[in-house]
Amino acid sequence: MIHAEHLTKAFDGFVALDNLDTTIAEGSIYGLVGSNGSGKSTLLRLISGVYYPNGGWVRINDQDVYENPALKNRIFFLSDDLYFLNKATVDEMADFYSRVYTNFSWEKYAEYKQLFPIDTKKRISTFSKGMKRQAAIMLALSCCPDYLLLDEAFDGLDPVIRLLVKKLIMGEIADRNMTVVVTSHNLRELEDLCDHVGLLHKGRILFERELDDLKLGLCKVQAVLPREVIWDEVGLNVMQCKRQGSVVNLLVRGPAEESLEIVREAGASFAEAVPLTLEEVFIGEMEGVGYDYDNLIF
Amino acid sequence: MTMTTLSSEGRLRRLCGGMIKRNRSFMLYFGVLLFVLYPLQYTLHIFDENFDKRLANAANGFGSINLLGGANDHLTETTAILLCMAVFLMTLVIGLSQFAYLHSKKAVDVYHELPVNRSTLALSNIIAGFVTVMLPLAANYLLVLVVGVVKRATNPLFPIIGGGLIVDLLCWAVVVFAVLSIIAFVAVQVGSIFDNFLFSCELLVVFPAVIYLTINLFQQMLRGYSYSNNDFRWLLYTSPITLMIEHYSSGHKTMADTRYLQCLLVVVVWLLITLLLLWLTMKLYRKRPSEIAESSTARKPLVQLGVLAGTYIGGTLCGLLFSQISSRLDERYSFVIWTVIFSALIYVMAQVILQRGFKGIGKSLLPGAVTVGAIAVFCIILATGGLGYETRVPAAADVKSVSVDYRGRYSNNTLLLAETQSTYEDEKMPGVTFYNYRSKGDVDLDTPAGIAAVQRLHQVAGDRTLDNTAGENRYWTSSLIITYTLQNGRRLTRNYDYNELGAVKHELLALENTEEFKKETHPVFMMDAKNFASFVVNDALGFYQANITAQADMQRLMDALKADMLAEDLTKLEDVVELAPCYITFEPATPTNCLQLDRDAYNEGRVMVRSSYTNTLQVLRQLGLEQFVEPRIEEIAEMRVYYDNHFYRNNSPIVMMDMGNLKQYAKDMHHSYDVEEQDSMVSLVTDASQMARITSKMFNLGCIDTTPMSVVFYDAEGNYGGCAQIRTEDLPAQVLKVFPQWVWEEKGFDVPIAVEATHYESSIAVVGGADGPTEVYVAE
Repeated sequence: MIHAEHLTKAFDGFVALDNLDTTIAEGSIYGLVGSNGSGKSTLLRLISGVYYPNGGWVRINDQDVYENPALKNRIFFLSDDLYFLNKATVDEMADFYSRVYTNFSWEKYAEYKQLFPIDTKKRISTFSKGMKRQAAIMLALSCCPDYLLLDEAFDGLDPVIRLLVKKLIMGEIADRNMTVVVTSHNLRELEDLCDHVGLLHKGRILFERELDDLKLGLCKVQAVLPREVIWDEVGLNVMQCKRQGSVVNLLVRGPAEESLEIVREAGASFAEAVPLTLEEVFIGEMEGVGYDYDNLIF
Repeated sequence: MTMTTLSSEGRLRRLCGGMIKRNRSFMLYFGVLLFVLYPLQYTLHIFDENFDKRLANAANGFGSINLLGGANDHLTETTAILLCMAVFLMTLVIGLSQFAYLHSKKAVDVYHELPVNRSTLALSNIIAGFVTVMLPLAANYLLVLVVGVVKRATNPLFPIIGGGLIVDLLCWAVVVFAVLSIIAFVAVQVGSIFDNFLFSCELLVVFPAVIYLTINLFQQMLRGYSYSNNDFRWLLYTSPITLMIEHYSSGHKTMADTRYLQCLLVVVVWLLITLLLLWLTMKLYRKRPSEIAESSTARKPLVQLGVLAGTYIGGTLCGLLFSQISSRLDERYSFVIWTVIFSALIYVMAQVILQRGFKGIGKSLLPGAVTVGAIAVFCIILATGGLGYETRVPAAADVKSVSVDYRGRYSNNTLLLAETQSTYEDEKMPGVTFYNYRSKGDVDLDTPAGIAAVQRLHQVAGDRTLDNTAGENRYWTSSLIITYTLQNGRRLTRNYDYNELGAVKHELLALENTEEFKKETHPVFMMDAKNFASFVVNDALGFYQANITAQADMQRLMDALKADMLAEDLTKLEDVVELAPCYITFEPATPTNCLQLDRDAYNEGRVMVRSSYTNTLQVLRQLGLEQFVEPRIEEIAEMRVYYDNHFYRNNSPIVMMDMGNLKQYAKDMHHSYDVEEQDSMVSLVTDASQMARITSKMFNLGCIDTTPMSVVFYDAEGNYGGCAQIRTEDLPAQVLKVFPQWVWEEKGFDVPIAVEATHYESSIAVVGGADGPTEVYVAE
């Protein structure tokens, strides 16, 4: 279990993480979403022991990660900005990791070589962005980490390889109860992959919960309402309301059935609940803290 | 699935193995480079056809065995320099490359997430760099050993070099380890590879550079500042990159050499410093924020040291350079002003480089002002005499003895130092042992009069208002070193260039005039007649020579000389010249190379017998050598004046003709110049009145600052005798007019050429010159 408490990290006066508390359960796939500069990558670097916190702590199974080789042997952090040794091939990189990760599996590596369409004897510097990403994922999975930290891991991968990677990750979780923390701005991607989601904004977790709970907690209602309604007065927690003539689109916090009932009671001639995407949840929540398109542009 | 369990040591080993594997190409390149610079050069050298001959000569006592440089002669001098440069350069490159990951955000993510603690990571990089440099180096040393063994097999005289090579390699190991550790130490404190390079170079060169520059500043700015060139080697100890240079030069003769052993001790000290540095590096690395990668961040002490050293070195160097260029101000104050200006400019430039622009430069202004101010204060102290350094003369009561590296007018009489005895054999005379000695170059004085004379000399020499232009025509080129041994056991040394001492003629004469100095510098006071085979007496004109061989006569002469020399007042010689009637040469009883000394001694000597040496002249009379008592001018039938001169020049204001070679000089001049030739360098004098004038002015001893001409004497049969000197201004105009103007100009004669006549009550002569007749005013 990954546990952070009062975690704070600042760079030259800029507070990237501010008193952050979070818990990531063993065997879960935790999606970390947030605005640009919200501290997602910083959190991953703190979990992987690359950074040392200015305040608070982050522990895995009650052990500090920083300068803890035994624990780090079970963690693999795949950065969004990939690095390979100068002029190295994938095979040479595998040799590099195998020398320090005791769980490195050459069998798995051989298996991945068959699965991923890249030449492991060619210099990585000649690879395309997506191929480099494939190489990095191959190497990461070959290290057999118990905690895999992926920062924009799917960036540059084609849809087929994305599916392959997701399948491989799912397989590792099923086989070894691997815990995955993944950040991405492609919320659609996370929606398919994650079972937990945390929303990070200005260095703090705005909320975190299971994806199903998150979707159940919010709903989108489309209704035909000839008149204006003050939703607070009728007891509906509306996060977003858009009207076009008599058609109203509402983003509501609360269960779908209850919300539909209130809308109908408010005089709607027609009302239906539409499924929410994670992106809509993200935008809705971010608007709630003043981070919306209108505020950014106007 | 293959799983292994790795300890920290296991990870270190495997990580190092991987890094070394990746450095294979570098090692190969470095190995080839070293091969070209070292084993190949060595092989070519020792298999050269002349090498065996020189080796045989060295073995037979002709010359030393040091045919190559380095410990046990295994390096050519060129190789030593190139080898040092190549190893330092490669170590620097590999060191920067090993730690480059710390200065890339992408790389640091990968390295710092590895299941390795930072100490292990840093150590792996140092070990990998170390092996990458040392492996090719060791391989090449091994090759040299193999070549040496092959050579030894073909020539048994070739020395065994194995021990020296092992010591060398161990020293290299420490040096490479130290350089890599310094790079690591800097790498964990800075954010970019540029800064790593900059600050690593700073730590590697700053100490020798600052010390070297400071010593030079002291030498340039502080009158009398003394620093032996030999002591400059201490500079080489202050950095690992200069240590091997000293190691190679110190081990020139034997590994048991004190200097060599001292250098090895310094290598051990560097090993300890490196271990301490490594421990500090680990501590700093554990706390190093990964996020400083790619930033211009560096720890303050490194930056401050770099900026301070850079400002000091750059500022003072520019100050020295510009103070030479502009001559409107006194050079010292000009130096201060230019140094302050350039220190300020260099400080700002350093900040701009470190901060990658002018942003934030305002914050640096106050520390900058303090830095420049400190440098200015230092320069002002130097310019104003180093807080009394220049004027400090120890009180007589505090002085136990004093040594001056000045042996006066008789410095060509060599006092052999028994303790420096060395022996050798000549292949032509097997079984015979020959001896070598070094001679004493200074005088030790401990009487109050002697010490007082040196103090007075020191006082005047240290006065920066001294007129340095006085006596500048003299050929003084060496230095004057005064070393006091104080009552408390400490020593105080001052070193003056003779260029600075034009006006201390009076003080030098006073020193030479002390009884103690006289006794310390001439064989008559130290030796007996029995030490010499004979005395050869020559008259001043070179017409007569006599040999005295009876011990009793020789001893009488020596006793008389002692009395006369002690009685003579040399201070009266200032600006005076005279023709001493004769000179005496003490011929050695034993050739010097066969002389086995048990105390310091003279084996030969010369003395100029002045007219005032009444006792000596009396003994000569009693010995029936009347012709040496007074120069027999009347026997000169003709004379020739040559533009050449043959004064023996030592550091004394009293100059004397080179007594051992007067006849030879006369012969050389006689055969070199033709009196009939137009524009000749020689003037024939036969006119009685002109000869009378010349004989009245000529001299073979005296105090002059100008360059004289030579006079060679001929008897009635046309045979040349010896020679004497004459000042150009004392020559009759008719004699002088033979010499073309270019001779005067080229030789720097002090004859006033085409100057205002108002300065002289003179006769006027018209002489030929390159551009036609020139009016010349000759002082009468």
